[in-house]
Amino acid sequence: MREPTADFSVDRRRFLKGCAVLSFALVLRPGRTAAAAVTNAAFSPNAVLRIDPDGAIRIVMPHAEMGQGVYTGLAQILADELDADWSHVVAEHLDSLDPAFNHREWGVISTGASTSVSNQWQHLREVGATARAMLVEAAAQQWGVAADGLTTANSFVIDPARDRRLSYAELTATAAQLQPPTEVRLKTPDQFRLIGTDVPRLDARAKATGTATFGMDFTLPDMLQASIAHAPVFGATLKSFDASQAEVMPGVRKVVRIPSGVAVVADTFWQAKTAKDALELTWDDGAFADVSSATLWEEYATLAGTDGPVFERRGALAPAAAEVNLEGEFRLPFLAHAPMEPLNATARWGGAGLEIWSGTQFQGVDAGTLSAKLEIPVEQVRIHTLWLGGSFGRRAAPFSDFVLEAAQIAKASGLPNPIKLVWQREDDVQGGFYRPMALHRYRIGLDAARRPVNWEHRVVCASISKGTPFEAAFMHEGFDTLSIEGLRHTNYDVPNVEFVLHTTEHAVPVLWLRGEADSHTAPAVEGIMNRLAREAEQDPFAFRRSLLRETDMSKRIKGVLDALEAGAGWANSPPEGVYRGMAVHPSFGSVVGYVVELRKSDKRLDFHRVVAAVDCGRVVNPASVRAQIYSSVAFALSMAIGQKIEIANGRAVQSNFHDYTVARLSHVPDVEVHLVDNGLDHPTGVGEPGVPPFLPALAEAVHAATGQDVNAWPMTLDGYAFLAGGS
Amino acid sequence: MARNLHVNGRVHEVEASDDTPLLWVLRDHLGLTGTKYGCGVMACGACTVLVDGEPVRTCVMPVSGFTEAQSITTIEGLPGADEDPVQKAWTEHSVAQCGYCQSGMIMAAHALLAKQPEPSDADVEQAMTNICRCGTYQLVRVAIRQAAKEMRDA
Ligand code: FES
Ligand code: FES
Repeated sequence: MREPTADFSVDRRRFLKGCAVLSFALVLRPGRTAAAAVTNAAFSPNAVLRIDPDGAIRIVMPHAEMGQGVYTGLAQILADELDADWSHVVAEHLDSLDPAFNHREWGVISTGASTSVSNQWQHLREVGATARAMLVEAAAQQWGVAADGLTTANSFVIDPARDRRLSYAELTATAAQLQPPTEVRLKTPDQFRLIGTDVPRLDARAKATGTATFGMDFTLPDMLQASIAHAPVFGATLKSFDASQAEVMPGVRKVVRIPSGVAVVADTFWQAKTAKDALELTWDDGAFADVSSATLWEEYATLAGTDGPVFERRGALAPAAAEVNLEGEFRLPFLAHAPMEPLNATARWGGAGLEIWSGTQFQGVDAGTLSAKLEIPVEQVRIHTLWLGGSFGRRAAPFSDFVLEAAQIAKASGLPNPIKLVWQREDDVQGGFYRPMALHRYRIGLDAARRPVNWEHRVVCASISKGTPFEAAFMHEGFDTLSIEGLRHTNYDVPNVEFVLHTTEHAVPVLWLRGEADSHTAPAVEGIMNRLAREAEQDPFAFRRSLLRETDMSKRIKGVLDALEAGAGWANSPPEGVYRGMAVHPSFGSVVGYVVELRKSDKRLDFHRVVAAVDCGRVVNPASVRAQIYSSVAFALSMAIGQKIEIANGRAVQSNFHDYTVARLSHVPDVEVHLVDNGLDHPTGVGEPGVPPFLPALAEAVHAATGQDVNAWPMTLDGYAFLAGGS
Repeated sequence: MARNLHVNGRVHEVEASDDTPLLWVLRDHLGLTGTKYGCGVMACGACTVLVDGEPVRTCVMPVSGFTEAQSITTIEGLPGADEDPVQKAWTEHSVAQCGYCQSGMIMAAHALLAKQPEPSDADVEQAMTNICRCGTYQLVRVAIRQAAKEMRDA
């Protein structure tokens, strides 16, 4: 999820109110956090941090690690201000709902919108600096000297004048007795030792040895496993079911009906799954059973041809000023997140309330939902966070679907055992909560000098936030910003602008997916800009520079354009047989641009080179930023080479990785990443902003190579094969 | 029914129905959760283990098809990040993002390097068909090159 509006943090109260289930956020309820687990001699100045007498520096992670590298990045920030020895740093999963772990802007424990590092930046620095100041004070007391002559390095307080030192481990007991200072001085950037360096990931070893326990791997001695049958048609309801065969199958303990389906609880996953397949279910398919992708696109195209609510207007459309009008459209399909680890959660319902073990991005939201739906006080909900095997937004579930299902199954079963609900890949790919399908249609008037004077643009898209607890936060003047971000407030200065949003409704639930609205608005906006540059017979870099209005973001965009142009050697013509395209897009507070070069031989296109330029503000871990750009390119490339969810007879056509395309090693190019310093002193988003601009840069390279316009994703090329490996 | 499996150098007796895929026997019966479930239809490689050195996607292979005579190696059976050149390279380059696909990736890389100590780019592309939704492929290539070199130098 994205930070919705500029006034969001001020308006948090409205957010919390809209999210009625979240009232618990105001209840102070420390669980087994670092602070609460203090042993006598440990020093824990904050719930986030505990320094043990053995020197271990334990940092409890306020955000979920789903691959984006936050555990390492967040630890780097705190450890740098603490002057900690990096080899002593241990990242710990959160297993508390203590508001100390709230997202600093959203006021609820949650991870999303590429904000983990940026929202914690100041706070974790203060935590680290405060602890450091207290350790210095502790040493000063032990030595009987003034604190201001002391320095710190690598988990030691040093007294340079008398050439002596004390380790943090030796100081924990004394420091624990001290009051934290009211003010601390943070480092200046030239004093950073960890921030800005390629610290290896803290989880690299566990993930190279198979020892990282994902939600899927969690187990308890008496744990049972569940498999669930969901409605195959979106919006269908269960009429009846016959479990007589399933109930007598080996290992089966219970068959339970919950609002979203019928679940089988058994000793092992395979037993549960086999018995679930033996259930006989009768569904009332409902009205959506007649819907297909074709009928949806027809509806979207009709809407795109009609007037609708205007979310942005500048100037007044001046048809007379246009010599030529360019028209076109872009179509982007539903997309499933398909995180590598299928969705799952373990729930234990009993005496002390509800206990959950899961990889979720939304602990705070989930706790509120569980409390409301299962009618227990939120104080009786406990959530243990585990490693997330990917998410891309799917594990930030506004209705907490998979976590709630696990809890409902545990409760309905009447069993005291913890029960792990495991979704099959098919449940995930066919279960909705997709990136919404979107249609963009535009008409642009060019004056005699081939400059755009009028820009009419219509977006047709379903609302993500409508009907969720986040509606109030994301709706802006009646428009869901999650449908139009990346188009609204465009930095391109066209004098007369009219942007329309048609909000559709259908039974397919939709959700934020990595790149969010920008994943469809950037291909549209940058696709348009590339076309306009061609029409004006201008270089695409020069054309963009001339069209950017004067904003702070435009300055950063220009900085990225400069770095990209230089990094890609754009001034030189590409080699024989190589064709190129570029695009740049600001999102999640950052700016990313790409140059994509394709090699054409016969009727085949392959990557020649991909160059990226990235301004994500202050860089905490350059290697991590590069890795996220590699990752973003692979993620976006999947969207180009075949990835889509189609609807037929009201259900998803694709079901698993054999027909839901994901780019593989043979498809994915090496990417050359240039980090751009435009002087921003704090970090901005990294996980998502690399996704949106890749598609339009690729599209332009394809156009250069083939003369074909890419108007729909995934691409279909007439007479050309893209990538040797095919899709 | 009860049967014996030879996993990571030890013989284990397991009690599972014939149709239970090896993947779920490893995970649910032997507690070897390093081998992952990603698709269940042999399309992603998350469940890859070595059977007599060959990479096998275990999610569709019924346990009844395996005998004690076959030697099964899972990620837990590799020497670890200090000893094993592949795991070491993976650790040093911070290849993993979410990490969920990486056990399968590492097993596939092992099988490749056992056959081709000096794999070409095309060899790597052909052998490494595992899905990584996090898109770590660029670093997978780097780590395989390093591991290959270290194995050759050893
Ligand atoms: S889980 Fe076996 S190939 Fe995907
Ligand atoms: S590291 Fe996440 S799927 Fe590969």
